[in-house]
Amino acid sequence: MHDFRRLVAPNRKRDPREREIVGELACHLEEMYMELRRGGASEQTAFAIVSAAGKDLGPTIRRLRWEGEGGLRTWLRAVALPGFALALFYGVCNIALGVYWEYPTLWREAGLVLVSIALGFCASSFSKELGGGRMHRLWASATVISFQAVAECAMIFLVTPLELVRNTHYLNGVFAAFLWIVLWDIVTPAVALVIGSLISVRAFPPVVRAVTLKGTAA
Amino acid sequence: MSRLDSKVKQGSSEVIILTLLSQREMHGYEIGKQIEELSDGALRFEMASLYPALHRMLQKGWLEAYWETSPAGRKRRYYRLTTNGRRQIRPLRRSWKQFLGALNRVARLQNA
Repeated sequence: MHDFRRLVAPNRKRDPREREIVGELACHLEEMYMELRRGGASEQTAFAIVSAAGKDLGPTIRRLRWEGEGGLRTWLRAVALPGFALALFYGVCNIALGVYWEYPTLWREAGLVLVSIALGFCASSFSKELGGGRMHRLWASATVISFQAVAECAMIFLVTPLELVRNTHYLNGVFAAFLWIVLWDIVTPAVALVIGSLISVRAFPPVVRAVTLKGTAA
Repeated sequence: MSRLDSKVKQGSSEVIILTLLSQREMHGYEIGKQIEELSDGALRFEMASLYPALHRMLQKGWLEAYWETSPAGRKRRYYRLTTNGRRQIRPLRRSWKQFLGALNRVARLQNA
């Protein structure tokens, strides 16, 4: 008898959950093989048909494995991982734009918006590949701005009281500056990231393949 | 539209699987085969869609699964309905009946 487990997952590290999934899919192929044989197909033909059916089951195995995981693990994998990885890219782009245009200009802000849309798109698409749903994808994109947002908020809420202790006139005119910082450095990129994520969701919608009608492709 | 489409596909697989399993316990391949046979080959589940649907229903608590060895010595993972799953059949069927009735009235499927 053929090794159908090997057909389903040839090179996989198998934890108990994955072993169970692979076992179940292998049983499916085995049943299919036996039915073909009972129907009179030769061993070679039957195995070729079964091999074709069992090809590219990697994404299905991953999907089944992830569906059985808890919510926190999904959030770490599909939100934190792509979000923080792309947050580093965002930081680098932000610094690069800051170095090129030393002072805030419309070009610099427009560049940052474009970079944000692109990174929002990438974060959302990576999140989908890592098993994220719509909400995970949106949060993954929003996480890209997290480092920047934390840094800016720390500056506003920690530095201001310290400066106030040193100089009581510090607050004069500083609110408008803070508002400007929050608007351009946090709100605008965040909106652009969300736009990028929405473009990604539109381009790569969640796959739900439930049932195929004869003559159609699901 | 794509959201409605995906919901319809997901919902259709759920009502089909629940109805089949209300008759007896089956393993994955058997479920797929039954659907194909009962629909005269018009409906077909691929592995990549059948098992995610079954696992989703396991997560919802509508089904439970267990491994059993057949007299021929083959291990198979069987699915059966839970009480919660059995409770879902009637409302799901009703909403599908309403949906198909409405579709029929609008698209005049009977005249097709």
